[in-house]
Amino acid sequence: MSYVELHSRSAFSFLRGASAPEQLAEAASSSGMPAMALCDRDGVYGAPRFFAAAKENSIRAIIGSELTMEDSSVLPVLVETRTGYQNLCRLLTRAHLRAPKGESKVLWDELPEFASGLVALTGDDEGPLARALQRDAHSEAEARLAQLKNIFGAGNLFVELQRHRVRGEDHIINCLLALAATHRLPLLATNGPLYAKPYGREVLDVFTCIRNHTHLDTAGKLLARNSERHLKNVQMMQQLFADLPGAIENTCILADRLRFSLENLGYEFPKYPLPAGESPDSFLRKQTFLGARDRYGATLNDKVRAQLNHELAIIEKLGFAGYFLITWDLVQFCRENNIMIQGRGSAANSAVCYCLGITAVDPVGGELLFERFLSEGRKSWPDIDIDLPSGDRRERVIQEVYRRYGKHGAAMTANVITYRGRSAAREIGKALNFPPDVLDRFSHLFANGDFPHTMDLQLQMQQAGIPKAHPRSLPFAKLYQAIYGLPRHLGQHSGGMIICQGQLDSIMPLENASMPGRVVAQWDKDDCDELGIIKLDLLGLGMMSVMQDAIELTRQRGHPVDLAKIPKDDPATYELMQNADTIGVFQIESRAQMATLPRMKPKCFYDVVIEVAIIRPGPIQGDMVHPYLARRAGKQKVNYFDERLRPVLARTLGVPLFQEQMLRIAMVMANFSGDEAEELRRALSFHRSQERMRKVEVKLREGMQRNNVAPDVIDKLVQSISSFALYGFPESHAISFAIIAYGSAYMKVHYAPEFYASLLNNQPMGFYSPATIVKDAKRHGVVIRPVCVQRSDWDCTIEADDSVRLGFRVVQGLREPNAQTLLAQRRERPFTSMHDFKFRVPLHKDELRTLAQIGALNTLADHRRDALWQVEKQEDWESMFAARTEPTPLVPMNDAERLSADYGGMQLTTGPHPMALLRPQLKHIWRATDLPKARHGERVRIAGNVICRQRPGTAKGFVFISLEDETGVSNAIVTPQLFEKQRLLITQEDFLVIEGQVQNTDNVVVVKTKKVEPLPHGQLTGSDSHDFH
Amino acid sequence: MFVVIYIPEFFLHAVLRAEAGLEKRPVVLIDAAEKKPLVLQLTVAARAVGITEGMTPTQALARSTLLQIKPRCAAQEKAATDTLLQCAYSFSPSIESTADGVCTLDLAGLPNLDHEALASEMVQRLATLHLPAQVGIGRNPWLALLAARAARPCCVIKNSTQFLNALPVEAIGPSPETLAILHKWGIHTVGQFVALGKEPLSTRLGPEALALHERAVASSTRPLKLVRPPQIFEETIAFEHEIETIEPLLFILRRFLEQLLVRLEMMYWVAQELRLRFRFESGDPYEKTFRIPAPTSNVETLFRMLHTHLETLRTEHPIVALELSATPGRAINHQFGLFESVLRDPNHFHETLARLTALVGAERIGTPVNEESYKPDAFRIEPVSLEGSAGFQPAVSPTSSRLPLQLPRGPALLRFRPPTPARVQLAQGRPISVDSDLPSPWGCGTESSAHRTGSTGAGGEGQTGNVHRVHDARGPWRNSGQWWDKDQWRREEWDVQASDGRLYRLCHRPDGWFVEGVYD
Repeated sequence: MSYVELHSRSAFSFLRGASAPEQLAEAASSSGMPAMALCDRDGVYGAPRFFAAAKENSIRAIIGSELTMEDSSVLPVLVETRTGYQNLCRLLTRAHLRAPKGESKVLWDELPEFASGLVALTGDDEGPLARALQRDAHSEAEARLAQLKNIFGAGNLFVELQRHRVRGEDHIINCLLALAATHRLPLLATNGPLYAKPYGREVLDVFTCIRNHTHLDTAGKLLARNSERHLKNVQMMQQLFADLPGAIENTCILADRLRFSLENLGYEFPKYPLPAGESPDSFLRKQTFLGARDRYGATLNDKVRAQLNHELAIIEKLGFAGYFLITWDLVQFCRENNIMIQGRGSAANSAVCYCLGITAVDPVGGELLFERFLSEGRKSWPDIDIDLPSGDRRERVIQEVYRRYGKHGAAMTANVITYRGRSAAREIGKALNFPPDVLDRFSHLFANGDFPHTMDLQLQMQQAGIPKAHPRSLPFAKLYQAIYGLPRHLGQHSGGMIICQGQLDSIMPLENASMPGRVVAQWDKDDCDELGIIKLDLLGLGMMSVMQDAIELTRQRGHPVDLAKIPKDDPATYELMQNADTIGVFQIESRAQMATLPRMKPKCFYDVVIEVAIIRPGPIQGDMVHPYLARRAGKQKVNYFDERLRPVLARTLGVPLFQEQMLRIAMVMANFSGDEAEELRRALSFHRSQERMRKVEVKLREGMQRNNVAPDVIDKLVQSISSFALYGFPESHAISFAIIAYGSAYMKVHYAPEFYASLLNNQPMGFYSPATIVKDAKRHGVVIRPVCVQRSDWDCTIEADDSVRLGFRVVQGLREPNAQTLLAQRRERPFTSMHDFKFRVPLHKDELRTLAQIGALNTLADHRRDALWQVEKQEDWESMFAARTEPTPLVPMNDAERLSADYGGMQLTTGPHPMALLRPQLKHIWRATDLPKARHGERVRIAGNVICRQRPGTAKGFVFISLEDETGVSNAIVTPQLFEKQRLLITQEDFLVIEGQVQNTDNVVVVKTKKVEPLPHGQLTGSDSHDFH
Repeated sequence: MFVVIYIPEFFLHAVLRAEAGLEKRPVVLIDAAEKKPLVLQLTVAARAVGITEGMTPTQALARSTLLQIKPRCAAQEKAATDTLLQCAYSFSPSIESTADGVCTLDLAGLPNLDHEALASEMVQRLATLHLPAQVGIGRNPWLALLAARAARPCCVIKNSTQFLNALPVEAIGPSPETLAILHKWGIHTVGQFVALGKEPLSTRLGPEALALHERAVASSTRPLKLVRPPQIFEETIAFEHEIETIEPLLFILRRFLEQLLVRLEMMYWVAQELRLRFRFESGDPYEKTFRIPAPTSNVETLFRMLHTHLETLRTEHPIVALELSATPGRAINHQFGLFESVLRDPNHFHETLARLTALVGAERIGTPVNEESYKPDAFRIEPVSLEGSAGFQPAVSPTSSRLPLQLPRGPALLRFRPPTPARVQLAQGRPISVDSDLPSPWGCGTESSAHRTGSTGAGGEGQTGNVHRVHDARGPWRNSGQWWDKDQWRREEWDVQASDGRLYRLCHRPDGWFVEGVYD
């Protein structure tokens, strides 16, 4: 006699279960169970992962769910057939969509409509029967059982029995036995596991505290009584129910009936409406070759033709033509609606995508690996990620997808937020009742951005103030490891959408998203991918908006630019990059990029591709940046890990920089097939599975050993590959980004007014504040004119003399509708006086004052103070003398007052930089522009407005500070020791004076800080700093 | 003539006056209740290192690592206000509580005084109460207030126009919005403000401009809203660092006591009762009332009383806040009632209690309260409270979300306290015999100890006791908890029917087997 656990919950029950589905599946397998059911609370969130893990562990995954009923009792149901699964998904969708986000209530009355294909259990101590029996309400329990029997039918309802070694539980069991006998219903033993192993009880206790907003010291009887709700093996369950062997036997009988599998979801991707007589394949072929003519010219060369035929053959074989057509259709929509679009990711490896206009990279010319995108062995859908201009234009595309496929036919994919370093530590710490300042310190010790965290947990705890000897130190560390990676809650993916031919709510339950009008699926993009559900990534990119706006401006100004046709060998653009003059340029504007550019000295487009890819945590962690730059500069000999890798690594001088190279290395050195390489890629990109990574690593090592690769080379290669696990770029992706990076640099050089105007119109974005961008524009000869009620538009515009006129959007507190009223009035006729302006534009007093203080009303007044004097005047609109102007008794503002007024009203100034006003008081301070003239090793003092502080995780505690003065930006580096000594001074002061030694290597000038002090700046204000420390 | 006593940075000084020497160090005051607290007020030393109002605490700390950050404290502000009014009342019966840290006195009806001397005396008296005052004297309350704000530390106005024009425009009290407008206009002094003209100002700034203009020329007077000083004598402090030893506590208590007695004396009172309140780190309060049989204002006598009590006081947690208040009384003897049964000398009783605490430990004196836990008999000791009726609390589960399991009624369990150690022999994980020295009358009627081999238990080797065969056993029932700290516990219960016919409850813990009780 065997046993099958039919009622378990995973951590996807969000704080009601303490193990990942994979852990449960593994435990079930090692317990000797042939199958197991996962019944997460109000959903099938964990089902795909459970299904995959079950397959891996050779057990059968049974799908079910616990339904929260309207009376708060919890009814477990199990799926028997596909109809049952569809019913469950629809029922959950209905219950979720009518409830607030994160809640679900099933009505007893609606249950019969969805009961077909489902088997119900009577539940555990939260079930409808046990709840009634706990209150001694026997008749209520009996009535509920009769109702359930009526709804599901006698063969589809089991009276569930659980024993958790709790005194008094036999009383409930006796009552349930009596009820089952009365209604002639079969018994079913379950243990209701909430965790795989007994230790999970401690995790569950912590989750209980989080759920109830309390901590362990006060949670009392909210916590578990013992650790019995782990997954018990067959013998344990047989022993526990030795008196009721039928209840154990029934688990196998029922499990045999529940044959539904997630493999049979019945998902169909939408059909593209084809013209008569066309099949998806023929139509795709036609469109591809039509597009090829645009891309490659009227006559295609053999190489291109062969590549297209090869790709189309694979697409046809895999049956993916419809997918390409649907994506192409969406691209067409964007084109027709003047929305810039560019495919990124591995799609850029496909010549078909290039010809269809989905991507902008020529993979034939670039010799990109198509197999990285699609291979014959590939089971899941290919990834086509689409970059769109962020903001309204991207939203229009998303809404178009909803419009085409309906609310129940399209959904955003979920983003399962998991417990990561900060969140895990914070919530465990709260549950363990650690003081908030300790938790703050612990959080602050994490690396920022997407840099990997490298600090050892024990050291981090000690630095946060939890010594090893602390009685709760050990539980903290154990819990941290146990909780790390478990799901926390469900979010919405930023751009992933899934679409379906029929009703998506039959495929998976849908829920309300936080954003009104949007629904979100219960599965994340990886889960959808695993189960063959089509996904489109519609990602917003601020720089796409900038580029589109800038191109539009060039068109309006009579010299249109076609991004696709700009020369890729423009010397001025490369000079800008070589000089690290890249403020505002996509991807290569960061401090680290700027420090690399003068050493990298990009001379061709491929250099930009490498530049984009190289300053990433992957290559930095893998120590690949320095060797590459040294080899490039001829300071180091180019060599290869193994001569066999020469063809793979030749163009990156023997240093692996791209994901494709990693795959090729695996193929060449370990004889990985295309499919195995694909599996390697997926393991690299799977954030959640260390285990998966380990398995692939073992395979990789074995393969290389078979190929007689030297052990030290194996270690180096494995290290290189592992460091790409999370943060490496695919080459095609780097190329896609490099196109935008090069394009934005080109625009900055040749169409500076258009570029800066668009950049200012799309703030906030990038690394720098508008104030810094304005100063950068001025250094590039672009005149930035102040806001003016007679000249400005809502957006920043370009005037006839190529100057940029600031738009009303930069004015703090000025509402757009009011600005539009102003513009409408001005279109009728210009304003003739302040009186006329105030009469025709009913602005709020605060808005008027701000306009006056920034000088926007200067055309209607003598000076800013005069405008301020006039805006305050209570006008008598009926008096015929009201428009009479009186001389102002106020004196005009001086430079410093104007500067403060500008920063107060716009957070930027078109006037002098605050440092220009402070300069007369500063003695022996080097200006940014003079710094390159300093000798290497010379001791200097620099000063300025702090515009950026960075402390990347890869920099071993070093801090980078950028100081802006009236001539440019100077950079300083601070040692960890000095930073710790003067942390607050460095992180809090707006203006600093830094003294230190000049390091001038390869034209990268940095001041190695010896001394930092605040720069007294009186009432002068500067721009805000963008900090990453 | 009118006098205004003005305490600059009043909220800050309300906090500083509790601790000696703080006013000379860099200290800033923040409002901790604000979402993003900013520096509200600061000491001269803090200003000297470049700190200004409106900075965030971290910005301020960036300027000085020696900086102390104090939160505003309503209780201390009230105590300071009471002190100010009580002091003012000792100079004139006509006083007005004008604003926080501002008190106006009407000198009408008082004999002709030397104004400078009067102002100095006021400053001096408040200094003994640790309130640095500025005193201004003018022909109307408004001028007196302006004079007080400008005083260093005393100012008597002789030429009002000249005095007014040089003042910063903030002195006439514009609303923040109006002040912002004036600053944008470049108006920084009262003279510049007046020069703008009354009418142009009123057409721009509305009725507020008229009021400001009137203040700027100080033309009108107003009647005072007279108050009587409160009969409350209280001093309080919330410590930045927890207090764990008696010395700093005594230091502050002495300072408080001296201040309270000065305040009482100014009102011609003495102390009739002292009330000492602590708040511990745990959040628990502590209060002690000292009735003074012979009311007095003698610092030493009263301080000794406090000192004696504190020497015997042992607390479980460090102290985070302290409050001392005095009930005013007349310095006369009074007779106890004939049938009065209260302690004549509560101080004596508390001293006794305190000594007991020192002997047996604070954790053993108090009221037991049931713990919300699955651990049987879990309880905690709460501190003694002579006020109210803190007795045993009912064993309810207010935090439990689920309904308590309704157990069917069974036989009552007579518990052995403490549980009796036992040696239990198991077969297939179930008890088959129990060997234990049960207390009488359950200890008789034993069998041979033949089943002892292979048994496990808490008793030592070779222990002889009462061996019972187990006829039937139910269980185990498992409970465990507190796994996150040193008090973690784990137990497994069995109900067994022994060969003597009785039903026993056995318990297996990490330290062995025990017979916990017998069912009745």
